[in-house]
Amino acid sequence: MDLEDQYDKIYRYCYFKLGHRQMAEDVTQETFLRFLESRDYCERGKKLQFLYTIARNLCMDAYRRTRTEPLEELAELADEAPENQVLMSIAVKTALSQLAEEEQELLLLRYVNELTVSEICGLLQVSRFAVYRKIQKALKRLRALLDREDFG
Amino acid sequence: MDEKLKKALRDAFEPPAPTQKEAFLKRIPQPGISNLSFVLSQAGYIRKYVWGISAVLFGIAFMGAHMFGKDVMWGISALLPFAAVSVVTEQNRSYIFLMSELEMAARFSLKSVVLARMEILGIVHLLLLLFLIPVCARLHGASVFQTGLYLLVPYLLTADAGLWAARRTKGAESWYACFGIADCVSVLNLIVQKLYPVLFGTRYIPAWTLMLAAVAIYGVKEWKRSMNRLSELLCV
Amino acid sequence: MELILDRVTKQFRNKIAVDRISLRLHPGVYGLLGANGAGKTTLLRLICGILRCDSGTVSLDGLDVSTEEYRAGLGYLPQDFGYYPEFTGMDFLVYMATLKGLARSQAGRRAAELLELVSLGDMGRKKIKTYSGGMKQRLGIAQALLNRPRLLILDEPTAGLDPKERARFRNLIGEAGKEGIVILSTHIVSDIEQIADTVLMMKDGRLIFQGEWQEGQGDLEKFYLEQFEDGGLYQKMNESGKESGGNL
Repeated sequence: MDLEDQYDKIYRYCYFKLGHRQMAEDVTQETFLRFLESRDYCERGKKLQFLYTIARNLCMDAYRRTRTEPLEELAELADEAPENQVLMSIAVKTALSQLAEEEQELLLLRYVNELTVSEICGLLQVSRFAVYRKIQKALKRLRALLDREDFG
Repeated sequence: MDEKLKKALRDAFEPPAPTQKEAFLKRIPQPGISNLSFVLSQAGYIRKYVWGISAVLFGIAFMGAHMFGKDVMWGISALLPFAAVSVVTEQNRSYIFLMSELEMAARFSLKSVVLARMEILGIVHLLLLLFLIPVCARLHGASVFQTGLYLLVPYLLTADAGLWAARRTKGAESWYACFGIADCVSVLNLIVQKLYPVLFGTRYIPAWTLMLAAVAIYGVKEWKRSMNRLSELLCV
Repeated sequence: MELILDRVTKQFRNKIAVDRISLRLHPGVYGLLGANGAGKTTLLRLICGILRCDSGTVSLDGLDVSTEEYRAGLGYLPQDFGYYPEFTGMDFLVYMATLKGLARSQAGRRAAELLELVSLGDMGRKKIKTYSGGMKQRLGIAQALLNRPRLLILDEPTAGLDPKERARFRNLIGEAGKEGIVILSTHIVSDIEQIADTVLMMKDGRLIFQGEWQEGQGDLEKFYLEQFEDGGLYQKMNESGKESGGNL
């Protein structure tokens, strides 16, 4: 397992959960330390799931602050990305914030961190069918919100 | 889920850049590569001609089983020395190209690299021989044991002489020395076959067996010495 | 983190290249200064484990130099190195990465990262044959950093670099020295003045000086040369018959 690659992904996940950079980094590092110390993870294919489980539990334990991110951050992308991409990103971000947190989490895990559906099942302790259904629902809602803006 | 939406999602979830990542990654033990993966990855770095020679031998034996009849064995025993020597020259590449100092200081030191390559080639050649011996035996009418002797002795003789030469010569000279040895053994083999075929008779089997034992034992010693050379930088 | 050398000695035929050197090093940048033939390269090779000590030990946080774990945290740039002729810059780094125990996916990524770091990004696909001396040196430095070493050993690393490259190199070293131990050897005094926190001076296989050197402490070169004249440290040490490693 590529630790460096996973560091970024876990950090992104923790930041989503906690909304605070320093805290997210601390939890990320703690996650990896615990992961490496544990001897139970040796079962192939479940390593990633185990890693995320640790991260999730640690996030739940940590103090939670609300996120305050100015939309201006995305303006920096304007230099590099084509204009319609940036506009879309802003639209998506706004639309996302209107989804339930659970739905946001699913979208993050499935499409950004690229976990498989089985891994997500194991992490959230729900059935494959339930996960699949929820993801579809979240996507549908997201697209509906975007359509209202004439995007997507 | 199209790419644009995916990218937009990615941007939406993008956190501010982490600051302690490098320092942390430095501190923790990296799991890295397993021993088996390392050995297999070395297969890709073995020179192509080495595989080439083995493939040619294999091809000849295979075809010989159907087409060439008895004489195929002579062709094979003429080529085997080159196979042996190609294994030896693999060892020397680091010295020739001055990579040895760098390789020795790495986690999988030079010794491991060479051992890995030897293992792979050794297994391949072993399979090759295991295949060749019965084939030749069948064609030649001699017993498997006998054929084994006639094929293994030149192979090991060349390997031994090659290792000996490789330790005493440096750089490109080693290559010439090794291939020179292979030439000699090959030619010698052919000469003996043509001029003194009687030496392949059953009367001389004990002599051949003794020779096999001798080259095998000597081979192990030479091999050990070569391996020692790899774990410490000797040419200063 | 501590690197301990305990009375390390190495002898070649009738010449003692390294003579009972003892050191305790902590994170930071150490400059090893000495004339050619003073034993610098030998000492560095002993620390890298590619030469075996005749007597004495080398260990990092309790790990002996002969162990694989020790080498896993080691990055080394020798004074001279070659390359397999068909290799491109990228091939070379990926090959070294596998030797350092990185997995395939990591190897490719680290190689690309480091090529960028030493500004060889677009040269990565070209064969090393086509590289200039300075480029080859930068490639060598990149290779040493592949496994994020805790112990970085550089033998004459700035040879062949132009002033701009040297400046960039200083930054890299400074970064590495924050969390790890960096030892770089050179016979160019000005390099040490600007890069190193601590100076180690060697002559004839012995350590004649170990101490910090800040800007404003005067001319290091002058100090260095003085030590070999009458009344200098070298003579004092020989007279009193002390063992090497005396601190000032």
